[in-house]
Amino acid sequence: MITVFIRTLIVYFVLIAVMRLMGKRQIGELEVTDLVTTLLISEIASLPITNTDLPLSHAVIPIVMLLVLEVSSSCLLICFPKLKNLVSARPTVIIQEGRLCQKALRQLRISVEELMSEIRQQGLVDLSQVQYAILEKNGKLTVLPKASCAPPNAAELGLRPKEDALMHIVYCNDTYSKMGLKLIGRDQAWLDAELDARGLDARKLFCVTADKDGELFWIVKEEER
Amino acid sequence: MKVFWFSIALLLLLTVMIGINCAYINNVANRLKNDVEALSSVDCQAQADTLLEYWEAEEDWVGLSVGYGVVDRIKEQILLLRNAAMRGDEQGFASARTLLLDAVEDMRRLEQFSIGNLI
Repeated sequence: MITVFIRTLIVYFVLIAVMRLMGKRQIGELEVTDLVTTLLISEIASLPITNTDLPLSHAVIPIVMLLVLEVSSSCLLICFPKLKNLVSARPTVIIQEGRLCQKALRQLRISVEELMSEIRQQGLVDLSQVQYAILEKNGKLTVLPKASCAPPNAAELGLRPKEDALMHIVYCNDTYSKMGLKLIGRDQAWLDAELDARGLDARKLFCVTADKDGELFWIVKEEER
Repeated sequence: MKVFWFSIALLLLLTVMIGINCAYINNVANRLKNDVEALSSVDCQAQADTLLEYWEAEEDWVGLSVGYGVVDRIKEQILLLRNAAMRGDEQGFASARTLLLDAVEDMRRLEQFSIGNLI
């Protein structure tokens, strides 16, 4: 049992290191190669945990090899974009300017019922409401509704709302976030002054977010309410 | 690109380690094979003891890349060989010797580049 326990720990940390090195694209599975690698890694990693006859190296070596292959292939595809056609499909337009491309449906082996289901999940009720539908490389369907079926935006209503700045966590769990303060171009002294001006004590706050315009949002600790 | 160069360095390191391991396993297999083939008769208890000592010193390192089943089999056959030598059991000795040689070849199998292994 102790062998299984320790092997699980080792495989777990190796996987975390490898997935971290592969980066966010691996988690998002942007390409076919990413999906293949993720599937392989999950299968290989479980082998030495459940089968103690196998040496640990029979999992670690393949996982490291997959890391090398994945990182190398993604770098090569950046350096030689023409190679992309070999390993990944292109996005396919299924509905173009409101017109259904039946040939594309046949090539993708997608039925109209499946297409309708995807469109409904995007909040539309019929094909006639769709201006563009594109099947992306990662298998997800992007649906762009016709202007008459899309909710109006502020520009179309003649409104000019203020642009929202991005809020960053500047204080959380009784700790000032240096990274968050740096991102909004402020420091701890500024935050303390702002909290004082509002009559707030940082020790009683669970979390504070702020943007570069100096807007603050805070959550009080539950036990302080 | 840092990750790319790091992974290339990792690949080179892995290749070197696999090469060293391959040479080591083949070396151990050759030594075992030569020692076992040199045991021609059942009057070889001292040599059998030496063989066992050698294997016990190497089995942990071999076990890093060879499956437990094969490692265990080799030890088992060495012990059977030694016991047959102690008892003067010629048939048992011959059988254990053959099976031990087979187990040693099994140990070497994954460290050989051949079409048979790949498919």
